[in-house]
Amino acid sequence: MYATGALVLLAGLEEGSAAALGRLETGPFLAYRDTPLTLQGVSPPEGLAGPHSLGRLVEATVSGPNGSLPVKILVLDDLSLLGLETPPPDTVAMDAALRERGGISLGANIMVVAGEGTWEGSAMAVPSSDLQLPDTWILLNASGVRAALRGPGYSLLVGTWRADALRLEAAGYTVLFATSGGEFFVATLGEAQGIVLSIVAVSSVTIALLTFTLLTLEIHYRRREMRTLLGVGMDPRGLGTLYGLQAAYLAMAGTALGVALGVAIAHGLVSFAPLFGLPTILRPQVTTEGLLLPLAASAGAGLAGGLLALGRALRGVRRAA
Amino acid sequence: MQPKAELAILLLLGATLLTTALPFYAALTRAPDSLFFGEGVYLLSQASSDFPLDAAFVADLREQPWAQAVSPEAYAFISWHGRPVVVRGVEAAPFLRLEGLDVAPPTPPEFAMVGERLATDLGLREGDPLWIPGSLRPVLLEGRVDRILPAPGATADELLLDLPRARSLTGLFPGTFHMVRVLAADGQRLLDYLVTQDATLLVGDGEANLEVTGGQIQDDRLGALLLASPELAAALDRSFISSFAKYSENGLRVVVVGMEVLTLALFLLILTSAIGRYLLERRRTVGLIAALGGTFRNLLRREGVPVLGVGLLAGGGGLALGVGIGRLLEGIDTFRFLGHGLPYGLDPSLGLLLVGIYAAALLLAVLGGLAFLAAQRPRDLLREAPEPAGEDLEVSE
Repeated sequence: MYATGALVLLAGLEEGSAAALGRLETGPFLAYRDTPLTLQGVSPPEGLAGPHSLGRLVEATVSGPNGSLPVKILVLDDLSLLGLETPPPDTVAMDAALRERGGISLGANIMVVAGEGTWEGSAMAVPSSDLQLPDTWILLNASGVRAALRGPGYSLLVGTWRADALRLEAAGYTVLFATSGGEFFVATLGEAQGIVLSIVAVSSVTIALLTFTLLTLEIHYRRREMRTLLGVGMDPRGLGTLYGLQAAYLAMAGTALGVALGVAIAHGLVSFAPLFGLPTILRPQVTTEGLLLPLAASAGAGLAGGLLALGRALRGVRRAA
Repeated sequence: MQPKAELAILLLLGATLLTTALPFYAALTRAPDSLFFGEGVYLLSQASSDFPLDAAFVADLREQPWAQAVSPEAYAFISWHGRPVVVRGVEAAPFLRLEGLDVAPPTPPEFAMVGERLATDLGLREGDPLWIPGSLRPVLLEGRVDRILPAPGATADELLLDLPRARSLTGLFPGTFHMVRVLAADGQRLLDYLVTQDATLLVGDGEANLEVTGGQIQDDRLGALLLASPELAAALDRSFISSFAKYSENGLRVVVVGMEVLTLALFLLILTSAIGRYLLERRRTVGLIAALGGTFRNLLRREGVPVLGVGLLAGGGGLALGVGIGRLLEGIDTFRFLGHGLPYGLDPSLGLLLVGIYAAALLLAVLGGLAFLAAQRPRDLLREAPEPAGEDLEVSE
C-alpha cells in the first residue's frame, strides 16, 4: 500500500508536469565538452532528431583604438538556430558594449587574431535576436571563419529539441538551455522523486522486516497444530506444502489488497485535494513499475517469512515428536 | 521468543518508520522557506499587490535606525550542469552583512560568488570561467568565479551574481527586485514603518506571514516571481502562469501530504495489529480476571500497564533509531531539493508531535483492545487452549 501509493503519486506528478511544461519554451541549447578540444573534425552523437548545428567557439583578440580586447568568435554552420544572421562579407558583428570598451566605432576597420590566423573587417552591430549572447562574442562571415579556425577554443553543438539535449547530456556533453527555468522545475521534481523513493526504499525494508516477523510468528504459534497433525500420521512433506500454500496465500492476498488500497488512496488524495484548497497538476498514473515493484517486494518478504519460519518450525516439531 | 519481546520488536519497527520518514516529508514542505529566513531576518514580498519594491523603497528602509541590514534580491532558477541551481542577485556588501559572513565583498560592478558546496560539486575554484544560462529569458552570460562562499545554510548551494546580470536572466525591470530581506532585532518596528508607508506587502518571519495591507492580497510568491518577467508574461497567458505556479506547488504538497498520510496509516496498522495480537494471546488471563470479579481497572493494571511500559520503551528505541537513520540519510547526495541539501527536519516541535502521536495511538490501542476483551463473556475467553508453559496463570480443564 505504502510503496504503491508513493509510486502512483510520483508518476502522477511527472505526468502532470510534462503536460504543463509542454507549453513552456526552453529555447535553443548549447552543448559542449568541458575541456577545450583541438579543432579537428567533431561528429555529433548519433540519433539527434531535431535541427542542430556544429560549431566552434574560438578564443581570439580584436584590436581597436583602446588596445586589444579578448573575445570569442562564434562559428556555427547555421546561425539561424540562435535567431542570428551571418554578417555580410568583410564585417565583424560586435555587441555595442564591446565596441564601447574597445573604442571601436561602427564601420571602423579592425583586426581579429585567432591563434595563427588573422583577419580584417569592418565593425557592425550584432543583428537583433531573441537570444542575448555574452557581449564578448563576435560573429564573422564565412571567409573570416575559415581564418579563425586556427585558434584554440571549444567545440559546440547547438540545437532546439529537448530530447536531443537529453541525449547529449547522456553522452557526456554539458548542456546549457538558453531558457532553463523549465528545466529547473523538471530537475527539482526529479530531486523530490529521488527523496521520496529513497524514503520509501528505507521504509520498505522496515515493512519487509515486519511482514517477515509477523508471518514467522504466525507459523510459530501454530506449532501445536503441526505436532497434532504429525502425531496422527500426516506426511511431513504434505504438512509443509499445506502451511507453505497458506503462507503464500496470505502473502499474495495481503499484497494484492495493499496494492489496491495504495492506488485507491492515491487517487482519493488527488481527487479531494481541491476541496482543501489545493488544486494540482497531478494526474495519478498506475504504471507497470508502480505495480510490479511493490508486488514483488511485498510478496517476496511475505513468502520468505512464511517459508523460512515453516522450515524451522517443522524441524523443531519433528525433533519434539 | 517471549510475547513481550515480540511486541517490543514490532512497536520498535513501527516507531522507527514514523521517525525516519515524517521529518523528511516535513522538510520538503518547509524547504522553500529555508532559502530566505534566518534569525531576525524578515522577508518582504509584493505577492499580488502593486506596491513598488524598488530602489527608492530600499534606500528609505536603510535610513531606519532599527534596520541592521537591508538586502534587495532577485532570483533566477536555472538548470546548470544538469542540476537545479538558485541564482541570487544581490548587492554584495549588504547581503554578506545580513548573512553574517566574514568575507570581503567582491569588487563591483560585476561579480560571481559560488557557494562552497556547489563549487565543490562542480569542481570550481576562484578565477574559473563560468557560462550561465537564462532562467525565463534566452540568455547566456559569461563570468568568472570571484569568491567561494564558505557559508553554512542555503547559500552553500547557490550562485550569487550582481543584481543587473541576475535581472537579465529573468527579465526583471531595472531598479526593481523580487524580494527584500531585512535584518531587524524588532519586527514590530518594521511592521509599524510599513504601515506609515501605506505599504501593501507580505512580511514573512519564517513562522507566519504577517500581512501589511490596506486590502486583500494573495500569497502567490512563486507566481509573482514568474510574472515579474515581462517577456514571459507577454508570451504566455497571465492566468496560465499563475495557475501553473500554484498548481505545481500544490502538486508537490499533495504528494508530500499523501506520503505523510500513508506513513501514518501504515504506522497505525502496525501498532494496532501488534497490540491486538498480543492482547488476544492474553485473552485467557483476561477471562480469568473477569470471571473472578475483576473490574476494568484491575484489568488495566494487570495487563494494560505492562503493555504500555513495553510500548513506551520500544517507542523510545524506535525514535532513537529513526533519528540515527535520518541523520545517515541526510548526508546522502540524493537528499537535495530546490538544488539545496535537505536537512533531516526533526525539530523539537515535530519531535513532540511524533511522541504525542505514538503515545496517543498506543494508549488508544491498549484501551480499545482491553475494552473489546472485557466486553466478551468470560467463559468464551476461558474456553481457549491452555497458555504456553511459563505464563503466570494456568488452568487445567
